[in-house]
Amino acid sequence: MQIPSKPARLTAELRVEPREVDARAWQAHVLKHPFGLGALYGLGPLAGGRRWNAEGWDATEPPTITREERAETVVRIRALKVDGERCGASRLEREEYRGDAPHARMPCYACSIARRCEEITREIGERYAGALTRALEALADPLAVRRGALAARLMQQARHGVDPSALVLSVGRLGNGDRGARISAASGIRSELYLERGALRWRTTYKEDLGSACARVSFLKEVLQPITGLALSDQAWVPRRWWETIS
Amino acid sequence: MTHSYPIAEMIESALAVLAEDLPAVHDVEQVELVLEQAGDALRGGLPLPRAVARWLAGVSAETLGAVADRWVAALSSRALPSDDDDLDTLCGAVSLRDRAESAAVGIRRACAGADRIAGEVPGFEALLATQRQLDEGLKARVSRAAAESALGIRRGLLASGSWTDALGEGEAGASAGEPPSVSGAAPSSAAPPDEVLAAYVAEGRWAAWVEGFAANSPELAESLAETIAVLREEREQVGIVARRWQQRGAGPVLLGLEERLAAADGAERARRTLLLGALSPLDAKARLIVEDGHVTVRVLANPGTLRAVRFGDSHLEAESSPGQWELTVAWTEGPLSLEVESADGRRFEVALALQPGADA
Repeated sequence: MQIPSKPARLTAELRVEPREVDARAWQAHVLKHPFGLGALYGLGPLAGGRRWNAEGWDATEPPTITREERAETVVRIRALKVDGERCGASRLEREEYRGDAPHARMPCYACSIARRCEEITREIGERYAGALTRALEALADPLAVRRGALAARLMQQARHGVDPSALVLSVGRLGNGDRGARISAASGIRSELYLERGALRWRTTYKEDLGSACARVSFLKEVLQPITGLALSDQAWVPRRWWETIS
Repeated sequence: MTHSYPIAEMIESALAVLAEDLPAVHDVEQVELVLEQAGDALRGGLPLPRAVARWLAGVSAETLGAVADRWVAALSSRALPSDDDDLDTLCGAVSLRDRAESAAVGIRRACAGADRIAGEVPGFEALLATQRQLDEGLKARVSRAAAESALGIRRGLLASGSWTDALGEGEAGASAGEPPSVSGAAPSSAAPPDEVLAAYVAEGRWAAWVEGFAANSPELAESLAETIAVLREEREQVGIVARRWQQRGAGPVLLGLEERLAAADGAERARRTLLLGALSPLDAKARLIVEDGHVTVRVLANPGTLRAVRFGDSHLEAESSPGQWELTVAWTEGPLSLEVESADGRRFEVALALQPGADA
């Protein structure tokens, strides 16, 4: 899978290059996020019922995946048998899981049938990948804003309703310390990209189920930690139209 | 205006907007919003605008309790990361936990302004208990360093005595605090199942079983090598034992690092923790911490089970603290040898090459 499907230039200094993602890595993302396996694998003493749609990919507009589509696709994945190998993802059929959670990692990384699985989930995978494509389109010719101005504007929105088209791009230190970029949308969808040799390359896309305006604002305000000496990380970028509309 | 940390600019700007346009009614959602911003400010050592403080003092205990209840629900349904490398889940969990900290600070401030005791706010004790539960869950799975790194810009709110202290040095990550109990004995000649392969790749567990089987099964060996390559490319956790096996003894085991770590200056304070996993065949595990031009190896084993640890040109013949051996050397691109000897004479030896660039 190539994500995004074509290069994109965001600013004079920032361009996004497509990344060819190995089928196993791609299926790990597709099953973890839209199919909700990550939530079903969710660990911890606190988690009560862990729902497949905890990230809310069934609530995007249009839905990235529906419950019925998921159920049908899971049956097809389970029926898949290549050279005697079958899907090894436990709990995939479950819509909710309340049992003890073992230390679980996505089994797709070691899966020998991932390429065939990718064919089965292609449409859903493409919709999932489309989240980044749409974000990049919205960020064509973005407006650079100071972090403080961004926080102030978001706070105004929080008081009177966060515009669903709100989107924030930041460059800096990812959670693991790598250089990268983060694109957070008011919908709760977030994509992260690595910054390597002057180009951005996809790392992940996931979604948070943001219940309140407060959570939405906090999510959008979570810009990346700036990097000393990297001027790009001193500001954030937003869709020009969104910013000017709410002025 | 210059700020000592990046989030300060955001907090001050948000508070300035709030102070000019405070909600007319104490609606739960709006109170939640103001409490969090106020908590951020207080934790960041920033002054709380008088208008905001007055507004908070007027919030009823019932409304504060309703906010606390919302936080308990949010924290309770939060999935925890499997380890340091489950980055998406880790970032979400620590961000939520940190925001809950600010909410609690905000509730305390609101109570102080109203001459009220926070503990009497319905739901407040439950909020604190839920925070502690989440901390316990995190402590068992991730290191403090990884949690703080995942906080990103919110890391600027952590001070001495912050909630991340509860994570301790949290030699968690791969398999929580205890040393690996499976040194690699094969329980059978059967093909190792996926769970065993995953544990081998990430943590170096079941090494004898997996490597023994792979030696007689070209199919498994090929599949395993591909899996390790993909995981390394994806920057997923791959332990030192699996890396060594993948390289088939061809030179030192490569560990990719960003260039910034090699040349990190004091201002940037770059820090990266690399989980090496189990040091099969020993019942010990290790991690590397690369920071400010130095590399520290931290080896964990049950007290008394190791005899010596050598790292580069440094060595120890006694534990640094019970169950822990720690050695620091200057960063180098050249091979760094790590040798660990157990009390019963078994040895683990590997040469490491820390390389700038992606981990591929």
